[in-house]
Amino acid sequence: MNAMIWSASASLFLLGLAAMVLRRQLLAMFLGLELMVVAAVLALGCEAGRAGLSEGFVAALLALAVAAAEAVVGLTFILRVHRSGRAPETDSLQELRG
Amino acid sequence: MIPWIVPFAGAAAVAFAALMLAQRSLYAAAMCFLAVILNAAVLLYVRGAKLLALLLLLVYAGAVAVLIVISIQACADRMPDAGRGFWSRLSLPRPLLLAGLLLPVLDAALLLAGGGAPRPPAPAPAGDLGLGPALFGPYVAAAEAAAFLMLFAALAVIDPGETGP
Repeated sequence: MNAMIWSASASLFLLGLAAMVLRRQLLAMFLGLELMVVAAVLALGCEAGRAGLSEGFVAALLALAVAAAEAVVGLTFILRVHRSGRAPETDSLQELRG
Repeated sequence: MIPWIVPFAGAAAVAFAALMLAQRSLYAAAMCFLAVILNAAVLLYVRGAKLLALLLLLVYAGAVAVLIVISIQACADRMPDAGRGFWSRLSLPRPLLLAGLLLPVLDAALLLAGGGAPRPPAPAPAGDLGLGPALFGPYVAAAEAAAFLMLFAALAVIDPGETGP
C-alpha cells in the first residue's frame, strides 16, 4: 500500500511537470506547478502519517503555506500580464523590461 | 478498513491529473485539479494525516481553486480560442467530472461508516497530536518565516503597481 501512494505521488509530480513543459497558457502551467506541490505534500503527509512523525507533518504544513503564498503571487503575476494587454501565454513573454 | 480505497483514490488522482493535462479548457482543467485534490485528501486521511487532509481541502479546494477560477474568468477575454491542435480534440464529459468530484466524498463516507480511518501501522505515533508542539517548538522560526511570506504575498496583491501596456 505504501508503494501505491509513492507511485501515485510520483505520477502526480511527473504529470505536473509535463503540464509545466507542454502547456503554453500561464494558468495551465500554474495548475501543473500546484499539482507538483500537491504530490510532494501527499508523499510527505502519507509517510509522516505512516511513521507517526510530527516533523513530516510540519514540513508538509510549511510546504502548504509556502504554496499558498506562491499561488497568490503567481496569480497576481498572471493578472498583471493580462492587464498589460498581452495574452497570458508564454509566447507573449519573451522580453524583459527593466 | 476498506482495502480498495487507497488504490482507487490513487488511481483516480492520477487519472484526473492526466485529464487535467489533456484539457484545453482551463475551467475543465481546474475542475480536474479539484478532483485530484479531493482524492489526495482521501489518501492523506486514510494514512492517518487527518489534519493535513483537512488543511489541504481548506487551502487548495477552498482558496487556491477559487483564486484560479477567478483568474480564468478575468483572463477569459484574451484566451485563445479552443480550436488548435491536439488539446482541442479532447473534452471532459460532464458525468465523468461529476463522478470525479463525488467519488472522494463517497470514499470518505464509506470510511466513516466503517469506523473511520485505519490506525497507522507504526507503534504509538505522535501524528497530529505532536504537530502543535513541533510547529511552535523547534520549528517556530520556519513557521514565522512562512507567516511573513504569506504577509508579503498579500501585500503584493494589495499593491497592483503600474498597469497598462
